[in-house]
Amino acid sequence: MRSSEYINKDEVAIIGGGPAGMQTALVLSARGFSVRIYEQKEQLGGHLKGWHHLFPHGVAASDLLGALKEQVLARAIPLHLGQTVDHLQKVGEGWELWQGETVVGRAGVVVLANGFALFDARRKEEYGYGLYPSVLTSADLEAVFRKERPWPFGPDCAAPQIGFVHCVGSRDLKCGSPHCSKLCCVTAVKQAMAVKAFFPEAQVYCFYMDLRMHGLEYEELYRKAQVDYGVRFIRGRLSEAAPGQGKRLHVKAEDTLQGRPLHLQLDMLVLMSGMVPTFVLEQQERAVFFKEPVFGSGFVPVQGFLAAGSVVQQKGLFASGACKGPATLPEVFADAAAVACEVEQYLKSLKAVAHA
Amino acid sequence: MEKSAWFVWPFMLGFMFALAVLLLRYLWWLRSLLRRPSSRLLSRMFSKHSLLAVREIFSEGLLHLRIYKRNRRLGFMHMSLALGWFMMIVGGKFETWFHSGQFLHGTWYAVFFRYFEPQTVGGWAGTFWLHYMDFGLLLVLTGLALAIVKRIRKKVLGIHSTTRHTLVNRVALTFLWMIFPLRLVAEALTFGQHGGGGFLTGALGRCCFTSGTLAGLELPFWWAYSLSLGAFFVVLPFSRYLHIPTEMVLILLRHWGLQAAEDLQPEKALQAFEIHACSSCGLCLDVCPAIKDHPFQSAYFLRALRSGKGWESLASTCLSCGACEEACPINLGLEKLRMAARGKIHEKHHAVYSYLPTVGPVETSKVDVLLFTGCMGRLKPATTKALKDLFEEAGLSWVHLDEQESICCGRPLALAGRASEASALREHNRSLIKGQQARMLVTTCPICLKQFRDDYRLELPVYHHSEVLWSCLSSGSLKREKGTACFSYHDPCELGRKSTCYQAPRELLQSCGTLLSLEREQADALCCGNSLGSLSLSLSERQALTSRTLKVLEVPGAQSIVTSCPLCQHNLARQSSLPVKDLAEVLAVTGLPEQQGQRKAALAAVQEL
Ligand SMILES: Cc1cc2nc3c(=O)[nH]c(=O)nc-3n(C[C@H](O)[C@H](O)[C@H](O)COP(=O)(O)OP(=O)(O)OC[C@H]3O[C@@H](n4cnc5c(N)ncnc54)[C@H](O)[C@@H]3O)c2cc1C
Ligand code: SF4
Ligand code: SF4
Ligand code: SF4
Ligand code: SF4
Repeated sequence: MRSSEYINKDEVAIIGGGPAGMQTALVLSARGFSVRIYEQKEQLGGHLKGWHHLFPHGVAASDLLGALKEQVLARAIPLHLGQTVDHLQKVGEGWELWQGETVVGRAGVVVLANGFALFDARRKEEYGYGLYPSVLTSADLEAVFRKERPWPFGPDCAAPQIGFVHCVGSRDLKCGSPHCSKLCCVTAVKQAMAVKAFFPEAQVYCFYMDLRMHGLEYEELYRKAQVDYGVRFIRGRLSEAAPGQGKRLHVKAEDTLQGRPLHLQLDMLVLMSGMVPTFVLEQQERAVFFKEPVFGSGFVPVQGFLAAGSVVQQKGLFASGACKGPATLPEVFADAAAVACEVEQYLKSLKAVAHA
Repeated sequence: MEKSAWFVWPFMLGFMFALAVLLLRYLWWLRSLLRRPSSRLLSRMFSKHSLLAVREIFSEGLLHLRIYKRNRRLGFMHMSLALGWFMMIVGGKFETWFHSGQFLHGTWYAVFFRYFEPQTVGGWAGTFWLHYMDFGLLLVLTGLALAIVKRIRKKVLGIHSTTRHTLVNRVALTFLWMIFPLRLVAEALTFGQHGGGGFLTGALGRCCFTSGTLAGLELPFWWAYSLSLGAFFVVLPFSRYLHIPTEMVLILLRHWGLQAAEDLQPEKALQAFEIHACSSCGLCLDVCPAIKDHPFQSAYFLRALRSGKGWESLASTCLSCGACEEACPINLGLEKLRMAARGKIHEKHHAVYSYLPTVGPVETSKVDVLLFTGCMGRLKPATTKALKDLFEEAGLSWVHLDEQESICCGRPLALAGRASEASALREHNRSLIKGQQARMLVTTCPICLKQFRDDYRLELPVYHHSEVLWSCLSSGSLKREKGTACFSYHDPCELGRKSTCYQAPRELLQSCGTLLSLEREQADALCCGNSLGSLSLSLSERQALTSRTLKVLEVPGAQSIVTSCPLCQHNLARQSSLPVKDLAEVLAVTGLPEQQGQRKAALAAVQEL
């Protein structure tokens, strides 16, 4: 039997070095706890490092990421980069972090901040992702903005026809993802405006089911997109994309407000891929495994109702950020602070018990 | 022998009643035929067809060979009940003839012969008939014992589900189960008291019923036997046992060339005979992919049609996967019947399609293949692309009929029971196809395939892409080498059971990898759950079916699931943890070994630059 002695009960391990992981670590560190970040990639940043600029104000993603990293560095938070934690083992009250056959860390408390994955758009084969080069996902388009990949149409095309498809792999019972990813509507608006800024002559269409502009200033952004940028919003789901004239795509949809079928020739089609879980928790006796999601898998389940961070059925295991479900960065930051508070409470309650 | 013969009356009355009702019902069902008998029917009546029918009646009505082939224990049960009873009827006739020298007697005479003539004389021949009749009785009793076991522990008979019976059927069943044990006891009593009897009844009589105090029981048992027979005959025409005579007439009518109507007429012509010929054997239950969730299987559907109540929802929820039709030992035309029922449901709906734009003809040129990928093909553009690449490789020229615009082949409408709308669509497509000059029509959608083959009457042959690819492979115009990939193959209902195409897809997969064997495949394969055939199954119910099917397909060692229907692929891929591919995609990526080499070399060259 391993004793729990060799685990420092006060230490907090954070799995995932995205915005949620970094922010949770920063708050805890500022409040005097010792934290470590385990990140599977060689760099911190999560999805944020792939974005160009952020809604609603157009702040450069690299600025925000730079500021976060700087603070992490300033607080000398130990980083374990390139380590993919795949299961946790309970030892006494604390945890061992495992990667395959080796223990990569030990801690009294673990915070999951593994974030989300993008829905694999190839599963909606009718939209032709992976088949036709001019079909991109929203994440691919961010990479285009960041000049990490070229535009899918040639420089001779000054007035490209561009379509955005909302809810790809979200709100789709047949794909096993019934939830709304909640930020792809505003992301589409942000990206549509950016495209118009690059190509003022472009004609941009957004195909939506209904628009969910729930956040602060999102609705204003949507209005701006229509009035100032001339983005056309069409209510109706795309039925298919097929090869069209030349290198173009032939796209069929139905305008459900006008009640007529639509045929368009597009130069670029952007799929607003939804946010899906990166893993499912398989809870075993005194162990938690991170398993590949299957059809219909949900996000990390937490106890309670509002803004809770404690993972169902596990003491000393918390979850922060988008691993619990779709969230924007402001939400992720607020959540990180709340989870840090919960962790603090938990550690204090352990101490109280020990003293008594 | 002077004995009171009053007890034969319950049997006689019941029997005559059944006969009269049956006759009236059959005449009623055949009313239109009697009024206008077709010359074809008359000519077939007096030909070898009638002999063939008799042969089938013997092999199916009595021996139940088709049930036996599917399930030996169940087949034996049906066979022993039917054959035993038949042996006794024939034997009874011969025995009375032999004994009295007279061929014609009252029907009751043979049935109660032992009561009147316990001590049959006549040397070895008389003894033969005694033992023969006992053997028949033993056979029936064995069948009966199995039937009782089946009700209590169905697993013993190798089945998972038995039909649940209605009240009248339970009453009939009870009388039927009583008849033969009562006959056994009545005969044994008679032999015990008067001597004689065969190896079963005689022996039982000698060891149990010789005591004089039992003499008073003899007549009551014969009464009870007659009463249960009579009661059974009275309920027979209103219970499922009507199937016994009806199946025989059905077989005759089929051999005489009669066909079931397209519209629902449960009390008319061949359809009436089909609906009433179902024995509720239950073979259609275990094969149905939805048996755990829904009681819409054919046995229940036919019963609902017989009673005239509740058939609508049963007809429209079923997936039309064809598994029950494949299993039905009487070869009932279950799908046709279901479509007729759906047509009836939608009789009053009138959809207008005139708002849809009409599709103009595509440019014509002399080509090998006219490709039709169908509406479902639009969900799977990768399959279409792969197939075109393969055509290119095999040197086949093609025109893609529905590349830009498409209209449905009509089968979904037909499956929904909208026969006239479907035929309007077919008419339109036919004119489009006629304008083309191709050697063959090829479709990637087995749903379309079936429609084109069965209902289009086209001048050019129609193939599924798997068949064409296989012929390319056999002729050498496509070449593949066996790789290390391991596949499990899903038989689409429409390609497998409905079009009996099992070999081509398997040959193709074996040419480039290893094909794993599955617990249920070919004719026994499960439906993917998303069949167009069901009009009212909910999404969650479909998803439950899909995950059951995936359990069969996700065998250890399988690296990918392969199928050959865009709809199956689309549906399985959503829930599967393994990649799900179409045959064409698999074949296209395997590529020629030397070509792969070339590609690698080309890639390397590019990278060096
Ligand atoms: C297309 C798109 C555009 C967006 N634009 C905006 C925007 O403009 N404004 C805005 O507010 N929000 C935006 N968002 C949302 C934003 O990206 C998320 O809110 C944010 O990334 C969530 O942060 P996170 O740390 O929870 O998850 P993630 O960013 O996913 O980070 C998770 C981290 O955990 C690591 N990890 C995962 N599993 C393991 C493991 N087992 N072991 C170790 N490490 C692991 C990952 O490598 C990753 O670094 C956008 C989202 C999308 C999809
Ligand atoms: S946010 Fe908009 S695009 Fe995204 S899933 Fe919800 S409704 Fe669809
Ligand atoms: S439909 Fe066919 S298989 Fe089903 S119970 Fe009737 S006879 Fe048997
Ligand atoms: S067709 Fe298939 S789904 Fe319908 S009852 Fe028969 S076996 Fe069941
Ligand atoms: S049968 Fe199916 S795939 Fe074929 S054309 Fe009709 S709807 Fe489309």
